[in-house]
Amino acid sequence: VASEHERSKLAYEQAALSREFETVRGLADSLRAQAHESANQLHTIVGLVELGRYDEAVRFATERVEVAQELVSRLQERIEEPALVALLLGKTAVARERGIDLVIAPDGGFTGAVLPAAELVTIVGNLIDNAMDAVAEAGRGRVEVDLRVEGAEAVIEVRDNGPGIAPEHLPRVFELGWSTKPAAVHGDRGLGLALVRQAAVRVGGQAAARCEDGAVFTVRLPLRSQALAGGGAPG
Amino acid sequence: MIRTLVVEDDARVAEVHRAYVERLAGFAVVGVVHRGTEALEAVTRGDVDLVLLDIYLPDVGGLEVCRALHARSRRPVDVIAVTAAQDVETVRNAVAQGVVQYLVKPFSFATFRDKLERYAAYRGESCGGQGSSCPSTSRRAAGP
Repeated sequence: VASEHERSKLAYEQAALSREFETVRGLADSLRAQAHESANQLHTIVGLVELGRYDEAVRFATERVEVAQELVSRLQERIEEPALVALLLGKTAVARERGIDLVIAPDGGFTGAVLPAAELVTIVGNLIDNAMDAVAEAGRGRVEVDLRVEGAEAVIEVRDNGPGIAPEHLPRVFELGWSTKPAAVHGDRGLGLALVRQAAVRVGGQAAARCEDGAVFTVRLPLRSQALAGGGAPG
Repeated sequence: MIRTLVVEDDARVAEVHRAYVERLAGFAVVGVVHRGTEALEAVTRGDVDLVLLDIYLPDVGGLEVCRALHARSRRPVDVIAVTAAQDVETVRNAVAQGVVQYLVKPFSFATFRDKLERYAAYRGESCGGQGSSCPSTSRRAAGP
């Protein structure tokens, strides 16, 4: 008979494996969304040209180039970490595809901060996925991502305008297997937020959730280089 | 006349597809909708022979729409899937859901015309284009 300790250790190892899988799948999904978006835009341009609407075709193409360049250069300047920039660009494409407004706070950023790339990608990616799932049902969904440095901490805050979380559920949202989504549709729900907390704890940080119109998730990571270099499993 | 419903979430692409269909002899656009639920409503109301269906819809996926169409419509409605995904699985699923043709974005008007005329010939009700032979008995004149 497995002890409580052995069971939790198993669950932890399982989650660690899943984390790798989720990260890779998340990136693959982002790439697919970006490819889809590019194909759509190219299709629009071809269509407008076919219909003889040349001015509209030129305007459309020019606008897309400007929007893309503006976003890329803003993110590169503010975020610096290339893996995180790539992730945010990918999620932006996924959001557009799902009809969700993904807003990255323009005045934030991690300029000059030394942060662990793998954990950042896990945390930000899963928080955005979770928020997008929460608003997907309602339509007119909005997800706001705020990345900023506060004193000796990097703060990642993701808020959505979804149904929020009932107060009695707040303490449990980061537990493995906790989810409001039906298991039949999403076989692996309840993993993302558990991975977020695990990644945060691994680098000496913490994760919290609260309700303000929708759900707000805040992760704080210490900027101390010592804690970041440490890594390893908690406990 | 093949009564065609255009289902496409991107409003601009939807207008391009509407204009494409309107250029073809033997086809008429009976509606343009942007969401899967609207597509189901339109088909349930009737008067739709062909659905030009974007596989990626923000509310319910195009494949879900296909499934629902087959489940609920008394009269069979044909589906031509429009997708930006070149991935095999999506297309295979689409075929399993009764999709008669598919178009991969980006495509030109020539490709579009070719697929829809082949569909019309297969359906045996109309044939556009110049000088193509039509298996149907109710052959229609195809305008330019």
